Amino acid sequence: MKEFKASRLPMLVLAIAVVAMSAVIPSCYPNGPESPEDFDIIVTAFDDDTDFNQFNTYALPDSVPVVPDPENPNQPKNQPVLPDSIQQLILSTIETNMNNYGWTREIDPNTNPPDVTLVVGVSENDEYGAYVSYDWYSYYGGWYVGWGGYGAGWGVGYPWAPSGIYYTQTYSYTVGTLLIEMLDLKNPDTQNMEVNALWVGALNGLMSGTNSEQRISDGIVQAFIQSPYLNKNQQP
Amino acid sequence: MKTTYAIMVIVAMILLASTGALAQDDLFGFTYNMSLPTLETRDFISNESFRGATLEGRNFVAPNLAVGISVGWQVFDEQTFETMNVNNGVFSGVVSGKQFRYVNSVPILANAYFYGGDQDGGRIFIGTGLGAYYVASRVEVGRIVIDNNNWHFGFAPEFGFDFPFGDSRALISGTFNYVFNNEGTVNFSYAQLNIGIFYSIYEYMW
Repeated sequence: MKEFKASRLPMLVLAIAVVAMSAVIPSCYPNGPESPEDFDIIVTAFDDDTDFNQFNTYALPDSVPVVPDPENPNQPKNQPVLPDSIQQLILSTIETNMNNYGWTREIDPNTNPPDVTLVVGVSENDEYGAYVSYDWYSYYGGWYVGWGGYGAGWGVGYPWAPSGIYYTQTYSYTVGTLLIEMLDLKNPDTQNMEVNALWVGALNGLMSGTNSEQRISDGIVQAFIQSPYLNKNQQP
Repeated sequence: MKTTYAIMVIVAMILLASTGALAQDDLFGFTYNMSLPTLETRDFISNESFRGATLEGRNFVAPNLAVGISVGWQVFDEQTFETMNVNNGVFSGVVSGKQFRYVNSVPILANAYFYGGDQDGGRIFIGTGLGAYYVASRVEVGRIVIDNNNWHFGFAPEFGFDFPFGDSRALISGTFNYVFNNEGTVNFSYAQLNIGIFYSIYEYMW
């Protein structure tokens, strides 16, 4: 049997290599998200059976309410958490993009019912899916309830959402999700007392972290960019 | 058909080599791997990877023929802002955001190499690996995580040289990992530069 050889240099090289590799491959998923901004996403979805050419006018609220956690019903309604400047930034950015897409805002929706209405809110709940089955529009107070003939007892339908489990099993939104929904006021489902959602935009994560104003503005613009079917200037 | 023929030749070569009675040495080694995504992998992640390593054993069944096995790990990652369509039966829509993309490739290969040159000096070698690749790809966007993990068949032609380094042998080689697609995935191929060190079990233990 040969004598065991203890060559120092190769073993040292191997030891260094092993240590180096343990530093180089610390995980299967390196360089992941590090800041709240890294989690910002813009989600849009729409009813692809809808011909958006039939709609031309829209209504927009004058405030952005906070939608409380439905599991915490004692939370006071219409508790504002957004500064007025942020609310106006959100609404003005939406209005600018809608107008740029060829839509006309109806300033007095009670007198002249528009074709669609946009509802805008900020969630405080982790689960966006909760809002699908929750009457969060009542948190507009007098703005939505009783307006346009669709008052108490009416809800919002999502007939194009697969299996009725839309979002709920797909996404979990953290606190600070800006929700924008376009509701069809021309074709109400009177049997089920529902007005259907035509388009949904959700901006998640934009309310936390730094530089929120720019991220909110950019996020709303992105929501419209990725929804070209809303652009009446480009429709055939 | 050509692929099948090539596989049969390689398998036959390994089997024939394994029956040889001229076993000289058992080498085991470690290589550090740097990789460049190629072909369809490059459409998913274009960044080069400096996160890779392989453990390998080689047995000389003839003076100029070695067979062995290897297990490696290569990690690719990339960040990009993308807009993607999602239609998975539950949700149909568009999601924009910063994407964190990853590919973890774990090749488990049987290898065969022809060597040229003197065993006591520098040698060149050419060969190929053949076997399975476990490829785990992931896209993270916001709080959404989309995983796609599959086993793939692949092969890895390699060319390189080794030379004495103390009582061991240092190795430099290049490998092209061709990883066939599987169930709609891309082929996840990549080119690889290997720098390693090999030891003789025989020399060290007896």
